Amino acid sequence: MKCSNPCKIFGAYQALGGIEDSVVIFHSVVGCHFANMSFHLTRDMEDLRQTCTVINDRDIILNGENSLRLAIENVISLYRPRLIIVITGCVTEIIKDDVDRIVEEFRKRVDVIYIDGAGFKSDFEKGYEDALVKLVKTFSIKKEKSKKPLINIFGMLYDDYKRKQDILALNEVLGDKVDIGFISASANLESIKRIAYADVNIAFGRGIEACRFLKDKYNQSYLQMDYPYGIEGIKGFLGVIADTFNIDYSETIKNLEENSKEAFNKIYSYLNSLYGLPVCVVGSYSRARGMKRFLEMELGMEVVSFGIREKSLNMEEFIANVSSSDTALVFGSSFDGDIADRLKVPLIPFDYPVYDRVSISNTPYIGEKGAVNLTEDILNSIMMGVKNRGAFYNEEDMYIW
Amino acid sequence: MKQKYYEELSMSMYPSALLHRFGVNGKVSGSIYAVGEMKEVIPVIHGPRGCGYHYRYSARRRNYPYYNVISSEMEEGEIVFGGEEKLFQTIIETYRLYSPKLIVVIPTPVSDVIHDDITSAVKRAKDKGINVIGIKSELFSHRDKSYSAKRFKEVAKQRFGESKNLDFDIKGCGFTEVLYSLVEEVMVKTEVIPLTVNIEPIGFGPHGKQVLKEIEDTLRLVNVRVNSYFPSSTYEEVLAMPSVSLNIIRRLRWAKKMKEKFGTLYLQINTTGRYSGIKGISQFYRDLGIKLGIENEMENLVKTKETNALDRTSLVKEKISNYRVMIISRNIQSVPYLIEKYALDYAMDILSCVVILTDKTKKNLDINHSVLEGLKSKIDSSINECSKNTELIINPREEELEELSKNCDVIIGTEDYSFHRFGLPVIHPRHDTMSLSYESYIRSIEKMGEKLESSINKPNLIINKLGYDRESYPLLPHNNIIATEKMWSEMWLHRKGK
Repeated sequence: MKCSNPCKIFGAYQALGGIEDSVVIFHSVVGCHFANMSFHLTRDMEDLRQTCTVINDRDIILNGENSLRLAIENVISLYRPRLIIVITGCVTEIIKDDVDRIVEEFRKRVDVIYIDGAGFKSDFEKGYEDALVKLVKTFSIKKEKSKKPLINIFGMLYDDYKRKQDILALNEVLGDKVDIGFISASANLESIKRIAYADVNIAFGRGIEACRFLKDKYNQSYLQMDYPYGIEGIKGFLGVIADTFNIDYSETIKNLEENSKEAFNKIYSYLNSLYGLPVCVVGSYSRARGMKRFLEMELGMEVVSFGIREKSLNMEEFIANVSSSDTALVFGSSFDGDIADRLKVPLIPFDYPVYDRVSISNTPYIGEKGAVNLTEDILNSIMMGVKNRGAFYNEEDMYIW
Repeated sequence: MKQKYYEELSMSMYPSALLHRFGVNGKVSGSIYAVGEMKEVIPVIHGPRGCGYHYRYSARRRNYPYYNVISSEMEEGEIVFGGEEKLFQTIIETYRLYSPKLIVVIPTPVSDVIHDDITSAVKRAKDKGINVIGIKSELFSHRDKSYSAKRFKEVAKQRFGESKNLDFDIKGCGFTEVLYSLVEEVMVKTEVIPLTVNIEPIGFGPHGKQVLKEIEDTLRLVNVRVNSYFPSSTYEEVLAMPSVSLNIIRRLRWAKKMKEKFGTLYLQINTTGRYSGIKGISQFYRDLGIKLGIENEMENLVKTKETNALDRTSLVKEKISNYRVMIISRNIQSVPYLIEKYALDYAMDILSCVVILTDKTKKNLDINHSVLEGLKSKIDSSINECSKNTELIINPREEELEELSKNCDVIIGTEDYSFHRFGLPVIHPRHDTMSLSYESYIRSIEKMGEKLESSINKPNLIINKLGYDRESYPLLPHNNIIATEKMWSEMWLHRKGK
């Protein structure tokens, strides 16, 4: 019926697309390439490193292996990448192209990995996990102790609405006390190879299978946590880091509390109107939970409808439930405009995919800065909403005069 | 009606033109687009969840998705044992939840490759009293890639002033597949009502909705009624389509099928040049008059409307004729008609016409020597007939362009704002909204008059600081972007026997 979650091929692309100096080849029909690209280009029109083997009728009859060879040859000569990521789609998995063999033919010339992205096999989460596991299995090397505290971050997506801003905010809040070695959705081949050097792996929900692999192979500890939205979210994250490395972040926490307070002072009265507000949150596991916690525990809202995509969310039932609730705002992906429009309330997009907003300024959603930016977006969305402006009992007047 | 410039803006904000430099979407998007235009009709995509998820977004719906897309969510079991049962259950459940007047089952490459029996699932659902049709795939996955080049060649063969129909369609276009199936499976023969038309509402320009309303109002003056805009109608309106006397169309195949099945005549309006400018607008109504058997009434209407349009615009045209204009275009096939329109309809003094034809365009559109000569000859003819003093320059050097610009007051015909570097204003083509209504003719000329008076040179545009690639305008000249464009043309457009 209505799909709440995309398929494997999207998960694999979101896990690995952000690796610098890599090129993704969709060994599939044009639709898979175009779909991933259409979500990606609305986030970043400059960073474009993907292509397609354009599987056609002839490939179906013979096989698509020559198309894949041709694509890899072309990618080597045109992009000169350090890594080629071949992600297959449903059709090439059905016709059983021997992708492993083709990839092997090129391994002496360039690093190539192959991820099975067939949508009929599983969902986004499986695609994401499989891709990261394949990546670390293929490239990670034996641990050497890092001189400085070092962490890896999993669970970020290549096309997160605030990818670059959130990564920058994480680095800023950690300061020079701790380095991030590898961060999914924004890595390079060197950081992937040195992934086992880190002291701890932190998975913002996703990436847990790769963390488990690294634990088994290199005895690296790991921790799964919700996406650190809000002041308390980032404090929780810093708390974990402080405990792991015995570092004092109290000054950092004091500063971030002060800085955000300064911003919130300017809108103190508006904050009153958000308290107790019934809202809907729908998203992927760690994002939705992190957002729910921020909205409820920091802004004082009440999440009356809560949906997690990974849990085989039945969209028809979920939409019906939200529609019968008192929801005044919807937090979700751009596709959840479906719900917001039915209720004629604003949508605050935060979860993948976000394709109907641009974000080029340094306005993260993570941490204390994110708390300010999210609150700003929430308030502006309410004030700019098409409905409920103008006359109180005769609002249509605004369209006539 | 929405504000027309906002309507056009919301369309251009969806980065379709950019995306199509690096790929085309699967034909499912065309099918979803067609079904999404209809009211009370729901599409069921027969494929894995990813197709049902993403095709909501990229079906010519600007940034507003088509939320009501249902998926049969095929999984491994369906791949092995067939998905007919799951499709059947999905149709039943869709009907139970949404009670649409029609369900349209759209195949995907996955259902095509396993040869799933859509017809049988559809028949079973029909037997249960559900109104459902299945779309038949003409081609696997995507449309015929040679369409643009073939069309280009046909256009080049035509002489300027000659305007016969280009008698072919895009094979494997999902949109066309749906229209064809609606004719074949939904429409039923009914009594024909004289002086009624259906209109395929595509290609009426950036302010198309307004133009269609104006055409409808004009036709009403000769007692012609628009029955439906196909497929942008209700289910009942589609059902009643065979009751009209004439279809006004762009795409040929569905109209041919209607003619074959119901005897419905059609007028195709994607001919090059025949319907451009005031002459073309009048020709459009005259052709309609002939097809509808009301030549005399229509001729009277045309005379009145044409005279009014010419009277209303004569003063503005006088002002426009004082401006010395340079046309710049990267679209060589449209240049003869640009010259005709700007010279005859707008009364512009066209000093020079610059055509930019890159090697990449020649390769992508398969423009060989004879095609190029045909196109040049058409441009020469249009200059001879419409604007004798216009100098034609193809691919001038920077110094030549600079020299030409010194004698001109304004640049038109291009979306390349870098030409502000010559110190002249550049008027965006969005202000030229002349279409098939007399009102659009008047509006466009008045708007152009306004723009010529008010436009100024803007040497500090941020967009011009980005340094676009001149061969692949308007892409940035970054290696990965250019490589991705080249990859696409190597893997798709130019791939022969590799």
